[in-house]
Amino acid sequence: MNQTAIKRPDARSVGDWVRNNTNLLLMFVLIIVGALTSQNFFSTDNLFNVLRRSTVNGMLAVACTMTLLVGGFDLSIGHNMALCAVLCISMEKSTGNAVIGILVALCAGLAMGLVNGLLMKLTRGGSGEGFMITLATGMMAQALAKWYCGGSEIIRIDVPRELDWFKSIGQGDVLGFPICALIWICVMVILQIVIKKTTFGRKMLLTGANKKSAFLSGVDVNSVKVIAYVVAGFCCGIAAIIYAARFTSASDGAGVGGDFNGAVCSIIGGNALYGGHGGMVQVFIGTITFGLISNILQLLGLSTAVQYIVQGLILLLAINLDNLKKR
Amino acid sequence: MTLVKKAFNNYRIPLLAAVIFVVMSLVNKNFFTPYNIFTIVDSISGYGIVALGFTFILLVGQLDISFGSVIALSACVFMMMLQAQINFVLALIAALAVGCACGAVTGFFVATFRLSPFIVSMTMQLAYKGIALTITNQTPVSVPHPVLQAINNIKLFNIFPIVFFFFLLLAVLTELFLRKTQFGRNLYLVGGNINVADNLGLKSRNYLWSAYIFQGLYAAIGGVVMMTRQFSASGNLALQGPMEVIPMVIVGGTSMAGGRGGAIKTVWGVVLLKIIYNSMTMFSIPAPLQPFVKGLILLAVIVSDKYMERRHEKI
Repeated sequence: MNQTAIKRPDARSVGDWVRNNTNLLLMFVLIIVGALTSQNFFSTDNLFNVLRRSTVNGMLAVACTMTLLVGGFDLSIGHNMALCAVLCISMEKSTGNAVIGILVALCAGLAMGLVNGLLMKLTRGGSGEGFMITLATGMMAQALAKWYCGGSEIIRIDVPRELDWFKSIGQGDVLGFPICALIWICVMVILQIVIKKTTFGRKMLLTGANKKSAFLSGVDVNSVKVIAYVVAGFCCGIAAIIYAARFTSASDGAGVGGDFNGAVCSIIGGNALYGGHGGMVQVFIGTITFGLISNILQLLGLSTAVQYIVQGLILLLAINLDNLKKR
Repeated sequence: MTLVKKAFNNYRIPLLAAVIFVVMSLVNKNFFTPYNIFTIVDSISGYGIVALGFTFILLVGQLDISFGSVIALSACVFMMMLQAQINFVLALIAALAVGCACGAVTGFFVATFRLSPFIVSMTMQLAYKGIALTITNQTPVSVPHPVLQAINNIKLFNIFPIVFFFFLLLAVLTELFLRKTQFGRNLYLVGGNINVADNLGLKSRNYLWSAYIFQGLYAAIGGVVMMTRQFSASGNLALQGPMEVIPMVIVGGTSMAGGRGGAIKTVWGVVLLKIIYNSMTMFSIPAPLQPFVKGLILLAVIVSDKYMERRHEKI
């Protein structure tokens, strides 16, 4: 047999490396493009701004990734976040206590995740069922949020002095570093350790890669799925808190497009859409890439309509590049 | 008994629609009035036609979220050409061509590169919406064109608008196309099992692609039909399109796994949901909660369907 004809999977040529790291390269290209387009790009203000703006999307991407890893899908994350944010704000408004608001938001997120997870368990669903089920639960969550708001935006008029710490979750910084980004990175580090280093994480990846063989090797596939969805719901709760703290207002429309942003951040970072491999590093790369695209387009001063087109095309390019890996 | 069972299994959606219709007529005296019937029938055509197109996508086992923006884009092109005093037929052809082109672009990436249809259509939705907003300069285009108004005014018995019959005609033609032509049968085969279709020598990619082109065409027709009712297009038209249309097709009985379903089933899904939505208004359920009921119906259909199918499976 000709030795050279056998293609080793761990071949370390430059071409292979490029092919496997298109996501990372795209991020660097965007950073260079950003540096060329505007002098303000490399100021710490702008970079932290990108980070701050990316956190809500980033948390949603974390949530989406958890469901993607087990071979599911979650379209309800955006509206789930909106519901949690509305509940959080209104609780704080009525009780004047931010802790209650935070707890309520987290519990609502958990509950939504649990509902999604149990429905997935009931239908033994995969990606397709997950899509449809969470489309429906997302519609329901948005309707609940709208009904709770009474059709109008809940606006917190005055933030009491003792609640300043709550506002600082979204707006404050530690040594110049945004607190919300710190929370996001902490969550990602914890989940990355869970995914890569614990038995449960391995079970998740196995479930996503091949649920039949996972089942045959003794993994309780359905429970793993439910837990992944619950974690996703919890992440939506955290995203809602960050959102509420940043804008100190919430409406039922807060989550429109959030599911899309979350999924896209996760996918362009290099997570597999049908489960089995991926992690939080990819989420980070994807979210920053997504944030950089809108930041550069804004620095260029394009109109929103043109921004949509360019954003769509860049994302399409990113997905196409990512697809090179599979060939 | 088996006959009853069979009838129930095959015709449960039309039966349910009929039952709700009769019960509502008896319960609420405002339901069975010419005006209300007109309201239901009038609201069916636009999204109904788009739902026929989406049936193609589900039949081949794919997904498309971009059709909301395709509706907006083709309607914008149509209205802008009317505004520029271009011939009505020419504007119509241009709008349909734009729809086909949009479908072709989305389908190209899905069929040729085998990218995930969900992500591709999501990004393309963004792009199409951007194009529609850019060409209209982010302002609605309103043209009370005489032909559109004439179409809007033709009503049979003062109840049934002419576009409703157009919708029914299109549904029947689509059903015949799907069931009776070789191309249509092949679409079912590709949706049922793409590997088998490949091994039989079908060019599966072309069939996937054609499904997207059909979807684009139907979305464009739907957009034009919507224009006969509201005479105004903007880049944000049909933002909720996917949320409205996907439940209709699923409730009608077209399987999301592909290979099962049909145009007439979609018609029944559209009719059933429109009757339910109308009943909700009749019972004065608060408007914000109505999407909740929509979600609940969609959920009930999917979960009951899949649960009955797979309850004996372990995973």
